[in-house]
Amino acid sequence: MQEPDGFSTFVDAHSRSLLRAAWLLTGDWANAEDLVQSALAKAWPRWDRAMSRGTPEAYVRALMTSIYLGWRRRRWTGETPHHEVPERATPDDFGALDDRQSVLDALAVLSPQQRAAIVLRYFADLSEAETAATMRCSTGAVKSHTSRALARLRDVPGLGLILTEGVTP
Amino acid sequence: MTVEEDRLSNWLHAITPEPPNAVHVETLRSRLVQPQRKRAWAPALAAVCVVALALGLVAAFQADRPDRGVGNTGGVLVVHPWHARQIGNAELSAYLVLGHGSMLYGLTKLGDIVAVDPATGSRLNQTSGVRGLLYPVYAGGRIWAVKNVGAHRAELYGFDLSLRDPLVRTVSTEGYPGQPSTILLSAPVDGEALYFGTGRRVLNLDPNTGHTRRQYTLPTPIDWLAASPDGKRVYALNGQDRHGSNTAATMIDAAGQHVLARNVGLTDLAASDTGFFASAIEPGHGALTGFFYPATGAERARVAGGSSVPLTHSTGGVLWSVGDQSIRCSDPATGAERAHVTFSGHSFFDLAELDGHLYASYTPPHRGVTSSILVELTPPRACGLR
Repeated sequence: MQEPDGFSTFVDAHSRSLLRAAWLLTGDWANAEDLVQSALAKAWPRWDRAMSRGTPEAYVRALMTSIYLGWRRRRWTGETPHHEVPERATPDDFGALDDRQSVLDALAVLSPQQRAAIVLRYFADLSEAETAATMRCSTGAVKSHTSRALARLRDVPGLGLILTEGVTP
Repeated sequence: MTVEEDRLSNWLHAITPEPPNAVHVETLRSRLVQPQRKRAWAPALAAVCVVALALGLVAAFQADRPDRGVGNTGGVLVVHPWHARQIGNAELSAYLVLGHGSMLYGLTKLGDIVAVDPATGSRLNQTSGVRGLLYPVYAGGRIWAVKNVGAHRAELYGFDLSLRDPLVRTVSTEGYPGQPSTILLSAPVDGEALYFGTGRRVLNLDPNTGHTRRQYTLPTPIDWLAASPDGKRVYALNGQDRHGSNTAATMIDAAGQHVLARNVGLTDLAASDTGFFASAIEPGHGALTGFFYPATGAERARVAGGSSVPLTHSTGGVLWSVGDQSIRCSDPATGAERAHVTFSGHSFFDLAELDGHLYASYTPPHRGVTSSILVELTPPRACGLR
């Protein structure tokens, strides 16, 4: 299949920011790369449509979000019950929120939709309406997801102080 | 964007690392899906689907039509047929509204508890000297709340009803391995019991003093607690899959602990005399609410879509479930829906009952997500609110 015009330029320009957002969504680089590549592969045959809307980045981001939530759904319904909680990676310092594992631990308490809403609103810097369009839901749903997510993040020691008091880690 | 949201945004930008590898177009070629051969009958099938979808939408619109219609007239929000009246202008956290006696209690965004007159909306009392309080409940003639004070310690505060003279108890806390501690508080509507949860432990506390009566240790950490109306049972959601949903519901009573459900994506919990309710959110498919028998955990009813967290079992014999833009009332004995309303573009969060009235924290469309006001709702008679 022939590469569409402008596709390579787009990938070079935007893949890093897409990868960083995907890392926040998935929690590791392997899955983040898988997610971004899946979204770009889906966008490839529809690139003319994405370009005609004038917002190819929004188009790819929406594909990425949709794929991410789809992964969560399939993996969620196929979950195997464990008597004990599956082993988790542990940070060196339990109380510290100044390392990268901590951001993942904090985001891990959120549901997939809450996590997607947080990443799109506060990392990709989308408006509520743009986030709603990307997640294919209403702005009210975005408000609800972000509000519930913020309430849960506020409960995270250290992060709660950053959010409510502006304390720098 | 509020200051809090701005801080979160800055923090995410600052802490997210640069990717170790770049994505190249060459690596995408192997993933490209070849176009499928078109089938001759596909257009006809698509046309049939479109017609069926259109008929379904018309039917759904007509069924929901009496519930629609939201307007704002001179500062008084009107939601047909669930009329809503704004109570004062106090800005509160969107969560954790509590009704007791003749007073509504809410949390400010900094975690102070405030007592609000439901008639006028004026702020009558407020806690002082302690912030960051969570989960206010009424128990033993006091308003109890809990606060994290370190990685492994929390303080329980039991204020009198004018929010003064707190009893203070310190408890050790725990969480998932490698994660911050979790703290939870739950009490039945009559306030005759008080349960505190942290990590894998559930404490049955004396509601008058805050002292521990009995401690239970579950096999996995808990994420939700809901005391039964008589206070003799408490349900916990525990176990957690990688997406934050719980995989088990455990009941604790005088005889010990019993695992009631497994392998379900549970996210919220409420208990009634005849069972317990749990919400599950399936991404892309909305929420489900299941109603389970109290002793066995067997599912006896399920409502798909519409509702979400939180669930509240009320003193007035109603199970309330608040969705993203909807409120549903159900029979707490069977889980059967009595009525629901959809508020397009309007977000309600927690609900509280007081003296036969229903109150909600509400976030108007033009406000940030961290700021709510109180409204009084008048649900239809079909809800059966006494």
